[in-house]
Amino acid sequence: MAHDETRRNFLHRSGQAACAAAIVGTGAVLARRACSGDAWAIAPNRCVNIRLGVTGADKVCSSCAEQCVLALSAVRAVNQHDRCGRCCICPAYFDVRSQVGPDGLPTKKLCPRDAIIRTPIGEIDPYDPLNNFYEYTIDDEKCNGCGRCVMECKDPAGLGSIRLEVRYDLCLRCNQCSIAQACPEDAYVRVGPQPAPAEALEGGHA
Amino acid sequence: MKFRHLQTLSGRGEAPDQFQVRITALAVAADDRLFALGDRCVKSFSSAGELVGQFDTSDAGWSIAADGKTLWIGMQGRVVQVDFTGNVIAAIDDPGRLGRVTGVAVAGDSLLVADATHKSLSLYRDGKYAREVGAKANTRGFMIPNGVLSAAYDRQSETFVVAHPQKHRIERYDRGGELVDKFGRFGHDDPAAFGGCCNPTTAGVTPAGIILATEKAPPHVKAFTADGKFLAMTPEDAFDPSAKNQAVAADKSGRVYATDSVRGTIEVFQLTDASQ
Ligand code: SF4
Ligand code: SF4
Ligand code: SF4
Repeated sequence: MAHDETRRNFLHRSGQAACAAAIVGTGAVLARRACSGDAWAIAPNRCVNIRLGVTGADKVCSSCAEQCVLALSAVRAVNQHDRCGRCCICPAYFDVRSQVGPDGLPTKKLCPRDAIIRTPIGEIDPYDPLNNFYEYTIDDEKCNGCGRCVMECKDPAGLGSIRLEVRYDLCLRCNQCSIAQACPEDAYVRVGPQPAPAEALEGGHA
Repeated sequence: MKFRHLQTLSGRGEAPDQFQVRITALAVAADDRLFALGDRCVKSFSSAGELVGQFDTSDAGWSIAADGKTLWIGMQGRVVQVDFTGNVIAAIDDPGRLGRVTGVAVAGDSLLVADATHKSLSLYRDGKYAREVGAKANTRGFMIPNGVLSAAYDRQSETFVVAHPQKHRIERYDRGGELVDKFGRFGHDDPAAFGGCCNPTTAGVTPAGIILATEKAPPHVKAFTADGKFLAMTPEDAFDPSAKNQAVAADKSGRVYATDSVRGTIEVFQLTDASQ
């Protein structure tokens, strides 16, 4: 009898806990997705990694990489290739303060996740390896948006071709984005629902 | 040797000695008068730093060189020769070949024209196109992510001096357009080396043959002997940290002028022995 009572109590309590967990979980999901049409964006004139006038590895803000609820942040670096100088010694690819090797290039890479791929454009001139352009591509399966490369590429050191972007295909559009809450510069902003696609092309025929 | 900061000229504003939008190039004439090109005009300053003249240009200018009693001004697709009051003497109109002329250097009847659009150097003799310069040594053209290709003439060695930013070096060409020397390498800790992705950004030469090379991020002017030995560097705080592509020129008394692209100023330095 005592045994049955204990078992009933246990089942009762378990049921309550399960219900509570379900309610809390649903609430959390609802809260996270309460504004599922809203998008978050980085204001480039506020983010310390992007805005002009802030330089230096010690100033890099890594909140976008560290605060996102996703295991690998929804914020990633993007290289806008038409703006890139395709430099041989790219300060976003190399740690330009590391020791210079016998080939005249810095010996260390900047990206802590080795997420930048450097590919020569055309054949390398064996007599003058500096005589070449390189394409720099971000491996978005490795990048976590830590912002180091963005800080180094920005004007005046680089051409500012690498920037941080919220990947809308990955972002969960949390109602209370944890990056927005942590951002020290109020640079992580809600940009509202994405507009519905136009039904008719502007200026097109009816 | 060292750079001692003497004074600041011009700046951004409406005053007669200031530029409203941009200051792009500097040249020093044989009488040590400084000519500063910016907006759509040229302003001249005495060696004491006083504004002594001004004239308008027909278009926005990107580069300037002094030769005897005339100036050559590089524009989009053309180079114009004017006297010190702005009267046009001659012009090379070559819009099919030339884009934005961000560097010009004069050696008697020869003119080396640095074209940032096509990333190439063109040599003109007596106003006529003679040949492309530097293509043999730089088969992919000049690598100038900063968007500026500069050129200067060294009277001492009778060579043209060119900054090649992405190769981290200064190149020297004879009057026939052949590469005769180069110096410089990438590096961050040694002041003789050029750091970042693309330095030196521009080059100049003093009348005594000292090579001046400008750097961005952080901005400096560096002085080198004719054979590339490092001599001196401007102080850390001489320019706005975001300044780049500084125009540079020097006079016979060792004054070195360099623009600050952010403040719109001309910073004046004296290149002296370290003991002074
Ligand atoms: S943002 Fe960080 S992880 Fe991503 S490519 Fe740049 S340095 Fe690497
Ligand atoms: S809304 Fe959520 S998923 Fe998107 S960036 Fe912010 S924390 Fe990450
Ligand atoms: S948290 Fe804010 S300041 Fe930091 S990298 Fe993200 S957007 Fe930039």
